[in-house]
Amino acid sequence: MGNTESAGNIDRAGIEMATLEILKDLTADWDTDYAGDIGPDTLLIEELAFESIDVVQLVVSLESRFQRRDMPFEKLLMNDGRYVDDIKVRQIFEFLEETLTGASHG
Amino acid sequence: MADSPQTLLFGLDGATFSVLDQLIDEGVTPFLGELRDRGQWGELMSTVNPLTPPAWTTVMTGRSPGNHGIYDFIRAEERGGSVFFVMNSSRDRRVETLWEIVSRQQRRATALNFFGLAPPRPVAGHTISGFVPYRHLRRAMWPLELWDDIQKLPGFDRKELAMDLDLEKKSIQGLPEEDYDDWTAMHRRRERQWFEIAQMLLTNDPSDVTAIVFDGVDKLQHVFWRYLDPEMLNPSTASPADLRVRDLCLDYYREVDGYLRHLTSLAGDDPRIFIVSDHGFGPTWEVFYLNAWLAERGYLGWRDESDRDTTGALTVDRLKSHVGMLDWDRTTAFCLTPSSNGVFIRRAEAGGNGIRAEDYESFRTKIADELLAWRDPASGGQVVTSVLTREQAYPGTTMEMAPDLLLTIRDGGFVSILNADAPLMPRDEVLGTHRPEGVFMAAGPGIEPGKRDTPVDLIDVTPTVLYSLGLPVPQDLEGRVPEGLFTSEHLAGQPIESGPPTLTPDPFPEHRPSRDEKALEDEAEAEVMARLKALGYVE
Repeated sequence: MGNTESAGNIDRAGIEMATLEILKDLTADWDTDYAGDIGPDTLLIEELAFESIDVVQLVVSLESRFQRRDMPFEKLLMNDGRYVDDIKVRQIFEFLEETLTGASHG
Repeated sequence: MADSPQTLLFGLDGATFSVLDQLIDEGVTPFLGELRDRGQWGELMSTVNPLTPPAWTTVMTGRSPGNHGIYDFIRAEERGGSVFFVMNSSRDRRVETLWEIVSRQQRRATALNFFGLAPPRPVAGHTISGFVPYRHLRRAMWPLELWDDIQKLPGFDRKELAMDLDLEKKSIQGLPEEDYDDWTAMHRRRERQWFEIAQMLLTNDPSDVTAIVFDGVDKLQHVFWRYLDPEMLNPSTASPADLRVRDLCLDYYREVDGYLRHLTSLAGDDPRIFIVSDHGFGPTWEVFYLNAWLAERGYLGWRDESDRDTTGALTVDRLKSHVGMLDWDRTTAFCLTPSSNGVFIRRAEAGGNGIRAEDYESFRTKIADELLAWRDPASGGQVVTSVLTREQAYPGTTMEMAPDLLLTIRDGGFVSILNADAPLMPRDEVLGTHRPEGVFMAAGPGIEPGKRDTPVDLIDVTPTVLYSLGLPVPQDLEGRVPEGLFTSEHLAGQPIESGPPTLTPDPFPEHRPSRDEKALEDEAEAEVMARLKALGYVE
């Protein structure tokens, strides 16, 4: 099989590695000014120039990687009925860890 | 390649005979004229909401939206009291495509620029999804290595080949006059790129069926309808300025007609050709602000009442801005996108402040009745001419995802989802918008020539292409091979055969063999077959 992960045996390190790999592949040939490495503190919108449709593609890629279609991404992307202004990569790690392993981040 | 002639399926997004007839008569599109003379032609009825995502998905599945599950570019999901929007992709399509059906019967299919082919699914042949932004284009094709080949083609420009969301919006909301030349030139370059890809594949790696959508027809007709509709502009009396704009459009049609001729010349001695549009076209002269109408009746609340449109716009620049414009605590019914022409009713069981199950029917009926009863304050005329419940509009296994109500506006246009001082506003200038009546043309071996008396339906396209390839028609397809399309002699020699039902797609077709892997798999398969033959299991 290709680069998919079973949600049952994934840990935080695996989540971080898979997410960074997806983000790097997704943004590899975008015409943006961002020249730094992608890390936990990278902001999707301000630094990587994500637009709504890019967030959608990220969700599709994460769902495919972890073979889950029911992840509650609204918890990551929305707050009080509005879409959040930006997201740090670390928040994606925490969301996935909470969703896939049940770990809590308060 | 099998014995059947190569089949070509040319999609002209939004094409209508009310424009094409004149272009054919004027000699602008001679290839289409020849097809009309030697083939069969007539109207093609679109999906109940004549819109690109559901309509092209119906073309390539033989299923209605209620069963294939694609109703719009995006869909709304009520989650934990919030409305969350999701862009539809291939994973949301609940049924097999024509390309997959063909592939698993040892035939090859090439499909270019159809909506919803990303993420790509394995086929024997090639697919490149349309309506994908440039940033994601290289992941939107099968096999993924095709990206290496198309980058080498003359004039390759990934940004112009892909969809630009901002340009898409421009196309339905009008365009400043100073942009006319650039707009048409960009669409000509874009179609040239799709043509180059099709030409490369037909030449180097042909399939049994090659299908390509040219979507600039739709984009130009949205903006330039008043220059193209023979009822709005008479070329013999029009001003030089108007004729100049019309000529910009005619150059586009002329070039696409040439591409169709050239691609046909590459598809064997006598290919079978089908030309379809996903919907037709007509004029729109006003804007109905559906959410403003809902707000007037207390079904919807705005976060900021003073934020009102005065320009005839249909939507905001960013959809997430629209989600933030609504006060969800005061909203029980809303329209998410102009293209849906639909009302979504919030349900209490989804966790928000929606309508309880026992009140749903009466609530929905009340909105529908009020919409139908509402009159244009200026003329007293009826504005919403039809309201269908989703049971009427979208029967099928995925109906729960559809809007609760589907509207038809008197000018056939899309609604605005913005707030405004009044629910109805005349447009400054007439634009083009969708109509249900598209075009169907067919020519080639076994096709009965002449004008059709009865329309073909979009759900008939997949069965027709399968029959053209000599394949059985799966018994669960909703369409059929149109009566009278093929000659009785042809039908006698090749009766229409019903086949096993389609398969349910795997939502995660993650095993994506590269070309090299595929070659190895083919070798392995050949080796197994050789062994089986040696053992006498197969002949």
